[in-house]
Amino acid sequence: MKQIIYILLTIVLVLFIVNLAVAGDFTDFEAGLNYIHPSRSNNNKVINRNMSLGPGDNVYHNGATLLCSQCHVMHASMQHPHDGQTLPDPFGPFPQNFTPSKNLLKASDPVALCLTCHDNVAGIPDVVGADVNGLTARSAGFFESPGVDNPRGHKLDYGLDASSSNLCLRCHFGGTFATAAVSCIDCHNPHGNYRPRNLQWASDPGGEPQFGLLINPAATGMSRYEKANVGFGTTNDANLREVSNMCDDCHHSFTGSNYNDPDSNGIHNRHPSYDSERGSTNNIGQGASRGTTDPTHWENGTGAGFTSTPRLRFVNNGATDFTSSHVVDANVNGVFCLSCHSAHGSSNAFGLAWDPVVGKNGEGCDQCHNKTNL
Amino acid sequence: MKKLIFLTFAFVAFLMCSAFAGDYHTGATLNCNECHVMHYSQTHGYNADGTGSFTAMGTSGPYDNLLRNDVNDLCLTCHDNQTFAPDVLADNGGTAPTNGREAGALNRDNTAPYYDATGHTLGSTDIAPGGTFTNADGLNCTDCHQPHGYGGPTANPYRNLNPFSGGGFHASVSYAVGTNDLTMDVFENTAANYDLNNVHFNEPDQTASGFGAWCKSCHTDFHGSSADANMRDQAGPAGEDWYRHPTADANIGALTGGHSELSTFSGKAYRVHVMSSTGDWGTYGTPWTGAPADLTPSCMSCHKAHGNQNAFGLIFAKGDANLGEQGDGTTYSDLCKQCHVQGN
Repeated sequence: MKQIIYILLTIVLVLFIVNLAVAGDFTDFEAGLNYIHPSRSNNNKVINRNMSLGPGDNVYHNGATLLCSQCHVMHASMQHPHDGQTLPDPFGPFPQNFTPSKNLLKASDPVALCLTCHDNVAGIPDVVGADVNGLTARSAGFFESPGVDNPRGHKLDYGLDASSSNLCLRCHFGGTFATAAVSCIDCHNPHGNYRPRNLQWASDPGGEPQFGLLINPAATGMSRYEKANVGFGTTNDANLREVSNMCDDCHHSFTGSNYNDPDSNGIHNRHPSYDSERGSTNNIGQGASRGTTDPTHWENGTGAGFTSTPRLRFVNNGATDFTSSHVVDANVNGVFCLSCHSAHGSSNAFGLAWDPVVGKNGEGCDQCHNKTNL
Repeated sequence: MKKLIFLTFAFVAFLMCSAFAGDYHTGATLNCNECHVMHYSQTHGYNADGTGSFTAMGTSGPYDNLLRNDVNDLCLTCHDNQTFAPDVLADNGGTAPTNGREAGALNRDNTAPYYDATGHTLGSTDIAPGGTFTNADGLNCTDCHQPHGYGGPTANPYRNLNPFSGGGFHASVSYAVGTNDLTMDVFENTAANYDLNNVHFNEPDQTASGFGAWCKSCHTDFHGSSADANMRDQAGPAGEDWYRHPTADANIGALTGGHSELSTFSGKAYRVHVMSSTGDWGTYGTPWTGAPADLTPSCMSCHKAHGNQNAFGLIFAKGDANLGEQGDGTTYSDLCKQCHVQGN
């Protein structure tokens, strides 16, 4: 009888593995991570952590601005503020009592903790719904309320296991892309990592390179989060990778030549998205030879696609500062995730930078492609 | 994975079509997401709340050029058996024009009554008769129609006819809507109306045919003027000794002595399309008294551009009743007798 049970269990296990193999999923977690980030093994985490602040200068939650007591409480109770603490406290008046939570957090979930400050508190970047700081356009856009399905961007949710092994389960092995949710700490390192916005590889926190999110040095305070004060550049290596490199952790089937041109016939099957780590860089001028893009139209910045939509963002190959990141040159300007999408979300479906329904449908698309010729 | 099939562009897009001077898939009616999908993945619609229809994707993607499906299957998602777009394949499963579809119907599966021999065959790798063009991947919609509408100097060509058909750039077919313009090749009474009685053909140049010149891009030897050696013996008398049936530069009844006869044509109540330099085509359904002497046949006089149920897509037009897509006759000679007196 035991033998029969063992045989049955073995068969089930084999079928499970075979099913995964047939479905194309990795059964080796490390292999999966290396597939997403081929340069992963080359990044020395010790060096990265000691990397001096570059484009991410003055990033909060780093160094002197990493204040333990803003997020943690030792005994789930606090009778009065720390010396020098700025009031009012986002968690309310003193004395404060908290529901004891894992990791000594002041909230039961990282998302709830983050949003205590990052939602509707003046002087702190507001990432959900309307902007309390009144920016013209937040660089990353905005989320819907947590727990609510969001067709306009990433869905925030509570109760997510943020371990890198669990990340895959959001979409694979039973999870679905359509319902997958994110936690703040999937993409942002809560203890700082000297990267712009503390962005990290969700699949391998600490393994990420430096990211080319370049802030206007003249911007201060909340204006550092204004869309107009942010540019994007890359040197195509770990010294300065395009910031969308961290999008690949979850959206890895949307970039890379294996996915964008699987039959290698030189004709895109998926929209190109700059990916220097997987050998898939691009520039808007590359489409001219087949007539798929109109570089002159892009550089002129008027007419079809521009009538109700500001120039879409682009990543500049070789740009390492804000000024050079804003040079408009079709032979240098690359299209990447943030060209069309806001990282958090927007008021448009898919977090798009333009409304694909109301008005002219070619808005956005026509900035590069100029097909409607309106 | 659950497949979502929503195809309800219908009235908004259709009304938009009617409101603009021009047909669909051009300018303001060129909607990228109807045909393209960026990442071969879509879980909701384009409205801000996630609702809204979107064209289903084929299952063998991702496809070249970010298309939602193979070209023909993509086009036919809307253009076959849908009420919101003209039906172009075989039987009309969409909104049936009163007098039949101007272009008739394509074929694909060599099944009755739309055999391969009855018109253009989607997917065919045959060489175009009279020419050298062939599509090694099979004839597809974009061989003839420019999917983005606008193309070259002929802005917004009639039916988005592709100025690159047959390879290389050439003029496309110009048209006017609502108010005729005799300098244009085609006149549509109203936009986005595919009834054969809604479309008429001008003759800006009485020695040429804009429509014929476009067809010539593939069917090279079948078209031209009386001055072209592929059409007529240049040593013969003017207007005579044609090698191939005229598609331009030959007025009905211009030659006496048993050739075509204008009264034969104009005496028919239901007449095939001809080109008119004066924009006068008589009234369909009524014999035509005082027809001008400069009416000229061209490709569309005898053939449905897509095809029909008759060999070669010919219109068996006896002329006694509404022609519809097949003609009101039973044999090709009925068509000949629209203009010719031989055998009467």
